Amino acid sequence: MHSKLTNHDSILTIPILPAELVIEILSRLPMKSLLQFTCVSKSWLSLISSPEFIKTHLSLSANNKGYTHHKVMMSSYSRLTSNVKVCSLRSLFYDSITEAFDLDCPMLSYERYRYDEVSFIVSVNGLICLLIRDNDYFIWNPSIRKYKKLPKPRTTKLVIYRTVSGFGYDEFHDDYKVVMVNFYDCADDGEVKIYSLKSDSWRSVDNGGRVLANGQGMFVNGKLHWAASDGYCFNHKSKIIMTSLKNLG
Amino acid sequence: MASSTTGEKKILTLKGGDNEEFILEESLVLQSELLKNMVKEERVSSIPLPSIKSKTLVKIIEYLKKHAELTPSNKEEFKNFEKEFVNVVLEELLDITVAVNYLKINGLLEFCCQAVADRIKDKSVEAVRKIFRIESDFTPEEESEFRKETPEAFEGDLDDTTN
Repeated sequence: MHSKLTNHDSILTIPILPAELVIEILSRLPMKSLLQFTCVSKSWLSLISSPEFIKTHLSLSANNKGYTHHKVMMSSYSRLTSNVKVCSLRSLFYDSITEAFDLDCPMLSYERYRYDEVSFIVSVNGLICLLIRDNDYFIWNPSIRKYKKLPKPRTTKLVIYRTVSGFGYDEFHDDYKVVMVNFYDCADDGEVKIYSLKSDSWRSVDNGGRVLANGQGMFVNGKLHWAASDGYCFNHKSKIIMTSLKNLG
Repeated sequence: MASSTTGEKKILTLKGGDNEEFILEESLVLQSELLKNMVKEERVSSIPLPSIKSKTLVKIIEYLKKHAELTPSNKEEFKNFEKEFVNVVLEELLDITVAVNYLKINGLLEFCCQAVADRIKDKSVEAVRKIFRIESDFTPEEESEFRKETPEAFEGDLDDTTN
């Protein structure tokens, strides 16, 4: 089946590529090809799955000036179906029409959730973090179609009035972290829990500043940003506060 | 020998693998980190490059000339030249890439690596093995497991190594 006749002369003249050159070439391939090429040999498998290679590949894709690998993710809600859609950032910039595709969330079907139960969904470095219902967090890598359900955070009370979340990458510790702020009534200070992917566990953190985050945390320039207010009165001041993940958790 | 100096311009000879000689201005080869160091440290006037085919060397010199003429006004023209530059059969593109890697011409190296990646991204696992001269070291069981899991990686007439 695989003994196709090929021009052996031309194959023999293909030069042998030095190892560092092979890495340079492979780190410029799209994820789909890399996944397939893990079957080429054991050394390619271990190269492609090594943390150093993954980091190089991520940084090359993220800094690609043509935005070839960048995607925009959006939640789409309608009466019949609600789901996540993605489209190419490059296409948004350069094409007159951009097509958006459905992104199937595997945890929704496997774990029997509905998309309208998703209360938080953000993406950092191609990883997607979701909060479904009150405290079921997931970290999902759509490129390799794998997800991880996080252990349940221990909250002090069962009934939560409101939760705000954030997800980001802690470059200093090379770790992904989820921040959960729980409010048990409308005037409480908020209880802060941090999840670290490396230790796969939650811990509590003091919410020192009594700052009330109103919306979800947005991860920009290596820090989480929250829209916040300093009180419940009508004349409270709105502000944006920044959290560095390095010192959390 | 070609070690003469015409005015301010220094002249250098590059010798390709088949002993063909290429005489060019020294300023051009300074784009190569390897040759730059050789010229600076040893003040040589002739550099043998036995591992690089003359055909490949012709292409690279053509690039060095175009790149030296690059100005903000002919940027588009240069982009088109770059596109045409890598529009060769895969074997030739790999020859060029290996030579550029050896000569350490940085901008061109990145461009060539991306061009190779674009050429191989849709190829089958078999074709990639041939191109990179890799023998599978997986057991037949593992191999058939892969074929079951990702049949598309092994399918199709994608094991053409020339394009």
